[in-house]
Amino acid sequence: MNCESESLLEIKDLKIAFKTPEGIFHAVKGISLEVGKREIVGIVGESGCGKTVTALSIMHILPDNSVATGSIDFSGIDLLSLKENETRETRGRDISMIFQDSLSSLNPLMKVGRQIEENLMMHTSLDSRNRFLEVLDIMHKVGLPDPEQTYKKYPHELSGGMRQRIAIAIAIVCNPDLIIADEPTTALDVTVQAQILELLRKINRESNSSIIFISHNLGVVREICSIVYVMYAGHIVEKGPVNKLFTDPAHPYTMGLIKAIPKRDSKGKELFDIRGRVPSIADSIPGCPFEPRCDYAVERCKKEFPGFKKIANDHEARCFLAGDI
Amino acid sequence: MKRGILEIHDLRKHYRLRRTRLLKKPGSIKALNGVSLSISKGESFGLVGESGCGKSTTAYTIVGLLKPTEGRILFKGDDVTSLKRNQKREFRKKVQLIFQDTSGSLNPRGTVEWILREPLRAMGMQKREIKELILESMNLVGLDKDLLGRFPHELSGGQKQRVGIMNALILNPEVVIADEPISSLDVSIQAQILNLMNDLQERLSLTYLFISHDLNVVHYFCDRIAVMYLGEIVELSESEELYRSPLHPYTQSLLSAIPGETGHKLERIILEGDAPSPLNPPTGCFFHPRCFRRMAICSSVKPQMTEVTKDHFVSCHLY
Amino acid sequence: MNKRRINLWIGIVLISILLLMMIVSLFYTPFPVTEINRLERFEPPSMRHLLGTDNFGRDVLSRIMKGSQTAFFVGLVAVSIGSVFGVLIGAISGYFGGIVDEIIMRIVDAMMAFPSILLALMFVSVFGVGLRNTIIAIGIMSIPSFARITRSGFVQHKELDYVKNAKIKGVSNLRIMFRHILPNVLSPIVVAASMGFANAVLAEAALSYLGLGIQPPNPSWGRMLSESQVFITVSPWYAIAPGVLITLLVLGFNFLGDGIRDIRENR
Repeated sequence: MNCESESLLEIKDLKIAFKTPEGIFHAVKGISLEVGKREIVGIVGESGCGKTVTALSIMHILPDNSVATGSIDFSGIDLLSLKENETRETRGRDISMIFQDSLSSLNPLMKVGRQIEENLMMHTSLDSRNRFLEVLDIMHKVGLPDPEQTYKKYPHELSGGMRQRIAIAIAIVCNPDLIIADEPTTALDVTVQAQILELLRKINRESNSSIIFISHNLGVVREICSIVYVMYAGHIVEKGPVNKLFTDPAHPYTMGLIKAIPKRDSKGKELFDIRGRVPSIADSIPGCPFEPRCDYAVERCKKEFPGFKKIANDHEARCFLAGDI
Repeated sequence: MKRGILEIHDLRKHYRLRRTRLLKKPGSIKALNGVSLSISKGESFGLVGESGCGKSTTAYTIVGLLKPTEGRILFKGDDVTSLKRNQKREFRKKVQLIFQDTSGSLNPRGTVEWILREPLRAMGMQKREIKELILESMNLVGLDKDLLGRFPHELSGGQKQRVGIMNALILNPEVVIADEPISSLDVSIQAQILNLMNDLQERLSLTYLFISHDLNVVHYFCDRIAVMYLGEIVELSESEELYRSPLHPYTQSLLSAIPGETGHKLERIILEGDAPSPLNPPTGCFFHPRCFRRMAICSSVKPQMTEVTKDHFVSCHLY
Repeated sequence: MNKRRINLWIGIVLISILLLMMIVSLFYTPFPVTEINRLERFEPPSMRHLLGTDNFGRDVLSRIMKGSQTAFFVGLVAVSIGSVFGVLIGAISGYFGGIVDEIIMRIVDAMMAFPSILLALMFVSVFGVGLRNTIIAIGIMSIPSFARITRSGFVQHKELDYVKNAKIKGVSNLRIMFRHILPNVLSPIVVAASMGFANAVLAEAALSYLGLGIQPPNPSWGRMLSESQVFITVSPWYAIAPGVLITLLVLGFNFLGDGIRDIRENR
């Protein structure tokens, strides 16, 4: 898709299913995406669309009752075919992840500095003196005031913003090629969110890491990503460069999402709303998953789910009418 | 200020902490430090602020879930903090709350019908009346009556919030306090709920106190907005005016931090650090440690609320 | 069948068999339970006496069947006493909190610090031996654990939004406690009741074994166990039968309790 930049991660036809006592559920139904070196790629979608599960599958930390098929190619290695112990090396060093809830993703009984250091211990051969200096350095880099004092604190003694900075420090301390950030700012206040976004941008610029940024918040994605994938009910329904996607969306779902957010000039007018509800993972839909809620749906949409239709060189959408609406 | 349907005067709420050391005086969390506002009938009043600024505490204090440490709450001129038992019941009917977390505010072991019946029962209504009223209001918020027998966990997020709204409206209140009513919903559902609330306001002539952390949503939904920081109102203005020319540096930074908003002319302001703890608030202006325009006076003298332009109040030494 | 339901099913099957035996005994036992036959003392199991006979030549099977009535009756009534008072106390303590909670919980702590069998012994020795006092003693013994479990549920739930919601709708405290909160915290109480049933059966057996519970000639498994003890070298089967039955009933209720918990927690 992006011809200029070298590709770092390439996902092809990824399917993820969960086996439960109630039956088999398909959370991700065959998605393909590509992350170039030094790129920030956004995955946008609502709850249950499969965005988090996709992230977990890249990290190889899916729950036991799930099956993933397809391929996830990370600089020449197929991550899906790796064994558990082989992935441990990649995890944390080459790919790392930042979670939404920093309070539960950090160990409550370990000093935060130690938690950063632990990652260094697993993946580098630095001695303890150098590790300590490295930790202080990284804490300074992510904007934590007074690293030496903060090093000794426990997660609950820090504010949400500070904790998220620690989580980011853990993620970047080994200089990973890819950082997966799953709703990293959702639990934070707006002013702190702005700080964290700024920090992630700086990391991307200075340490050349690629970032997959997962969020339900279109505004945040617009702010930080260059390429955006829109997911709906386990499918990618649209992909394109961020500005095109926002100014000229091609899929009715993307259009609806953008129109549904109150904007500066929407005061006094009725907001556009997407009728109906987000489909649940148990619903089986033969045609286009968005058809029941779509204002443009035609008869054909009920039976068939179209493939990607190119609107521009780098902009595609899975809709019969893409480019014509 | 003109007489409002709901008025709050100098509301304070302090939580006493447990004594940790024998000879040390126990500290207290100052959640509200003198909040005053007046909401006129029929308007939508927005209360904006970040987590821990006291906006939910304000809501809980108004509806009587918390006892204020100091201050008065007037509903149509009557002080509700000193109401007698039967008057309290009347007041409860008139001022209701929509909760943020719908799955938490609906009893997980009650069907939709049971949940909606409870408030009416408590008011001593007859069975037949209740049934009629429930069916009527299901219709009002756009829910199918087949859902009456369902349990909350069998509903989608949007349906749950509709039940939540109906639950608040079923007593026919005049003032509805909505505490982050859309922030736990999916983006595509948020607009539905905002439209519904607007529609209901028109039909039932409601007065809203809309609480949110999202300035965009509050600007869209409300006529007037008060911005809260650390248990105080720092700026209060008509909503368009506030959006166009925010005065308080905190409001400016909040507006500039709205992600992805291209229409805004403000330069991105990135504040330093986090909001201080209400356990140990700074001296002078509470915002001064993070303020990008602080002056010498800010750390020692607390600014007073002043009317800078007509109906635009701010508490900041700059003005 | 689901793997995690296996506990529940074992429990249900065991209890059903014993319950069936109890019901049958209401109408029919192979021999009258108090009929003494000096010619048939200490008979081993045979076609005539499936579980043999005791030192008075009474049919052990008949006495076991009759004894199950005592076991179920004691369990049921004791658990009812314990759960009703325990839930009431726990609910008040947890919902209102503050000084009321402090006082109630300290009393409960004191009761729990006391070995429960000792408490029952004391009660029975003061108020006299016999079925009624045994049941009351066992019931009182189980109040603290019900109170604690209920209280912890209430403490947790009273802060939840649905309770706040009910409060601002003007629902009375009593109704909030028992119609709103109680159904939500019921499952650990049901589990405790099931386990409590097992404990009550054991406690009755223990008291009767010591001669302080059910008085002869009424059959009770605990009493049978104690009577058979002297003759264990002469006729071991006599001791085995009530022992096995007590074990099965206690196991049955423990499995049932575990099963209910598994299902509730996995929802």
